Amino acid sequence: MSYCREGIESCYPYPTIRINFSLAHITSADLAKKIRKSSLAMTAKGRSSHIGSVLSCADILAVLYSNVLKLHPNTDYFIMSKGHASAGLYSALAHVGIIEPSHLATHYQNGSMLSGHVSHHLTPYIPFSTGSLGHGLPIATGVAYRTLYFEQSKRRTYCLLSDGELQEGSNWEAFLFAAHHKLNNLVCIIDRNNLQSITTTEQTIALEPLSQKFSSFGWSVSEIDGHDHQQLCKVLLQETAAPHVIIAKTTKGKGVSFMENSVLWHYRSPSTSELNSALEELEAQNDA
Amino acid sequence: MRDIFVRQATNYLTTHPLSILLTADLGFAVFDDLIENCPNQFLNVGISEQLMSSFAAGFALSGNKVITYSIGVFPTLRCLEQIRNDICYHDSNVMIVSTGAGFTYGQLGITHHCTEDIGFCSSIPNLLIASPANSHEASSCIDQLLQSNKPSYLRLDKLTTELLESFPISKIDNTYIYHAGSNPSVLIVTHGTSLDITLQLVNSELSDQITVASVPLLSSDNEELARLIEEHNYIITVEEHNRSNGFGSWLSSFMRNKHLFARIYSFGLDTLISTVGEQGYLRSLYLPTPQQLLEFVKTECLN
Repeated sequence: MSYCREGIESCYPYPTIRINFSLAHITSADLAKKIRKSSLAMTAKGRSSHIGSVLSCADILAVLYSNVLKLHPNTDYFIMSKGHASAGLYSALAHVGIIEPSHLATHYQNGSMLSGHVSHHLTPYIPFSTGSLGHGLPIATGVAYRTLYFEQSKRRTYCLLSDGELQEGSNWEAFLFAAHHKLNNLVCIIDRNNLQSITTTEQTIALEPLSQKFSSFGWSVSEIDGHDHQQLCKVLLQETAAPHVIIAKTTKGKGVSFMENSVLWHYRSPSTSELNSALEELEAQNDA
Repeated sequence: MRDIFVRQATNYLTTHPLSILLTADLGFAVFDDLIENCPNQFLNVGISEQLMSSFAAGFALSGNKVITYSIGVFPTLRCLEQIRNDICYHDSNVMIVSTGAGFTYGQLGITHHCTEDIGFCSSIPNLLIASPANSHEASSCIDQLLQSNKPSYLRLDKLTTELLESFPISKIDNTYIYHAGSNPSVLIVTHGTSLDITLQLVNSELSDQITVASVPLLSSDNEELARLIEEHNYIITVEEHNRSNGFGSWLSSFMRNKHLFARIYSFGLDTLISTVGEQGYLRSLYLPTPQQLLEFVKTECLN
């Protein structure tokens, strides 16, 4: 069964898939709300984890898919290294028309291509499956290097990491490499929600001073409010001389008051009543 | 065999300008010709094997080949998850190359002994493993892996005098026969340069009763190997690798899957190696000598 609509030519070495959509049809605010609502529904139905992680990066995904990523032609690459927030990515793809929205309900179910961690089997617009932290950025450096020096195109490679993920040493191999080779077509976004699996990042293995670490590695660094769409859009489109890292300060569980800043919601899937409460809260919120 | 690889890789990269060879800071002066001919297609990623493997997968998204290079177990064990998740799971056109199979770097200590890699790599689906025994096998294997678009792993060893002079009498389905006795009941088969040991039985008193073969590519698609096994009562494997999950294990599994029945004896390493020394010295300690192998065949198979 194909999960992709017909309409657009794929730029990847996959069979051609045609899809009919336009990025101009949805605002980032609208998309962010849709991502949050769909993800909540998916995690509730699938009894899956990681809703807190999804909610913290919903605005990042919304701005990427509504205003930033060139998806056709000369498609930019987006690699979601924090693969556990897959529900957010799948939701974004559904609400910009890359996959059928009806398939979201199959998330985490037996036989589904919408697996608990990001799966490249779903669509060519997901170039790599992720889930083991520390892989996405090294992969992205390979993509960016080839695009810059072999393809010599203007396509950019974006990679979204969680902050706890920075404890994986493989990332720092990539940070060294990318700066050395001046991969200024590579944009790394850190979803800096300050929480990881057991407690805060700073109580686990302190990451601060993070900005200084990146700049000492030779990257161009931006620190912004990761829920401010204007700031996100500005930095994500910014051109830099060096590879660019965006420390997006976020709140885990953002958008649902009882899920915010809670490690519990890294694991817990919402019950029916919790889902309804969350959806009501989101509906009542004004657009950003 | 490393020189054969470098020559063939250089030829390949010359005709495939969008492909690339990566090294994790190893191969001093090894790739000088390649660098001269295709300077933009050689990249030292630094001492970063995990980056090298994931980078390769990302680069190969285009479909163009990436060759990764290091020594010993560095390009495999160090980055096994990257090989599994990023390369093999995505069916990436990546060829992983390691020089220093077995005890090649024996004097350098266990960190440089390449004696578990087949075990780990053969447990990853979608990874073709090649261990050529000599120049002929190497040339063929390297050509096949370069032409393939699938993930692969090539492990290279040093050549001894016997191996340099060895020439197969037949090659079918990536099975090389080096000696076929007139009335053979024992098949002695190797993967890699342990052929050095088994070749020395060719002119022994058991010459008529043995077949000596080599299987450099571990593929379930090997009807010639299946045919050979069917025609013999005893199968003996010798490898400079852990017995557990090595070539002997692979062959046992091959036989089971094809419902082939013969008594199989596997020689390899059974212990954590704490001794250091040249390859020949370590072989004398941990693998059967040709004489010991001969006695074993006489006692266990032909008695």
